[in-house]
Amino acid sequence: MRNLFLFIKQFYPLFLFLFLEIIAFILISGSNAYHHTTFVNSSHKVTGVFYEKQDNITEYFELKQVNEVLEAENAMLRNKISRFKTLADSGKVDTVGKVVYEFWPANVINHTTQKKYNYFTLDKGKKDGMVEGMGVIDSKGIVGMVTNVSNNYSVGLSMLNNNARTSVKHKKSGAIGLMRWTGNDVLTHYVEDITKTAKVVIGDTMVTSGYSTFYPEGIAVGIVTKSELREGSNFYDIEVRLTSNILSLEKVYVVNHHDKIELDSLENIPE
Amino acid sequence: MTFKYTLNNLLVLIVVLLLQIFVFNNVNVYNLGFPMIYPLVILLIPVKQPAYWVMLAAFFTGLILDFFTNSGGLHAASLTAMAFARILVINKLEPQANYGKDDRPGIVKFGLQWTVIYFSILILVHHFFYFLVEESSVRHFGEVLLKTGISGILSFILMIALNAFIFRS
Repeated sequence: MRNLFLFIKQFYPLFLFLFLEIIAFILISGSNAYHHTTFVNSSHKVTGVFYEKQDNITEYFELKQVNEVLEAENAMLRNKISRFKTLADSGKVDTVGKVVYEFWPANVINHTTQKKYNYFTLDKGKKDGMVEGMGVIDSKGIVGMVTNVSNNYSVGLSMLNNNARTSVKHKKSGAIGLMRWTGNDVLTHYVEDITKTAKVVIGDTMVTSGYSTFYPEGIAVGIVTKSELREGSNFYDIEVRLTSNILSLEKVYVVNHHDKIELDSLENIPE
Repeated sequence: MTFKYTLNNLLVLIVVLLLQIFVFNNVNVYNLGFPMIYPLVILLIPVKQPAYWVMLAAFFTGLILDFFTNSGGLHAASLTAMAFARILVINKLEPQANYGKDDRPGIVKFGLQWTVIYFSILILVHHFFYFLVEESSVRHFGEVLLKTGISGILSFILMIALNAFIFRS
């Protein structure tokens, strides 16, 4: 017994080291899971307040650029409205239809781009109606999805995250594929499962498929930068460049699907 | 004296963490250089501090960073590994005259050569562990080594500069 105590006394740093490492690795494995349900995240009050303060200062430096983007978006929306108006007047569109998707504006107060698993923090939380699993887009394309929500803040999984999987559609042919990111190049995403009948060429647009409740159908995702048909394969190897401004996020929109809970439970998506 | 001492340590901790979170976390040199200065907090703990104290301090300092960067326990794991390596390095580097009770690692107390060896070994341990666990595979081992080297050099220069000019004692 005495020997045991002596043994423990002599080697306790090693045991403590192993113990702490085990805890750390449990936390790491929790954070790498797709739904990111770990306690260690920046949606907490303290971290949120820090990042909000920082954003309040740095916001000013990007004000001009942000304004230009918003102006361009305004112009585009104006065009769309006028087009719909003419259509509605001629009776071709059913304007009584139910609204399924809503877009809520939000500010990105912190985000990373240089890691393998990147996240962003938004200044909207539970009190603004945010829930986990909402999609996030900016004026040019998709950005990510919300994974953690606290009272005042929420954290989202960026498209630049090794765990991000997005169902995309080839705009021209309607072929469905799966987009992922390997963690190396911020300009390159990979799309799999698009069949060779789709005829994908460089410059084509990929949009969201609308098969999930994260994003509505037809939101821009990326532009094809490389499209190869390997010999003997029925599927394209496609490289895509995101259209969204993922490297400097400022103003984004959160996508709220009205029947999200009903649909998710119906399709039995594990939360 | 002890109160002032604790207050100083706390101040160093806060300044280093703020610098890391708001300045150096935003630095990215060609996707290979990510300077990390927060190991300085653990490197500067006096040499005679008990091992459990150093490792717990490392674990929780790392955890604070993990909260800010959404990295689970990545910083905590790598900083604890560095704290463990610190015990061995300090034993190996013990000068002939033995360590004094409150001796704090740094240029002022132990000179440039000792400090450079001590800093560079432990920074390499920390950075290598960090990038290896972040990649969590050996497929891109070359990239892990490259990141360790380039980020390590940046961190080393920054930490030596901070140690020489700001946190002297």
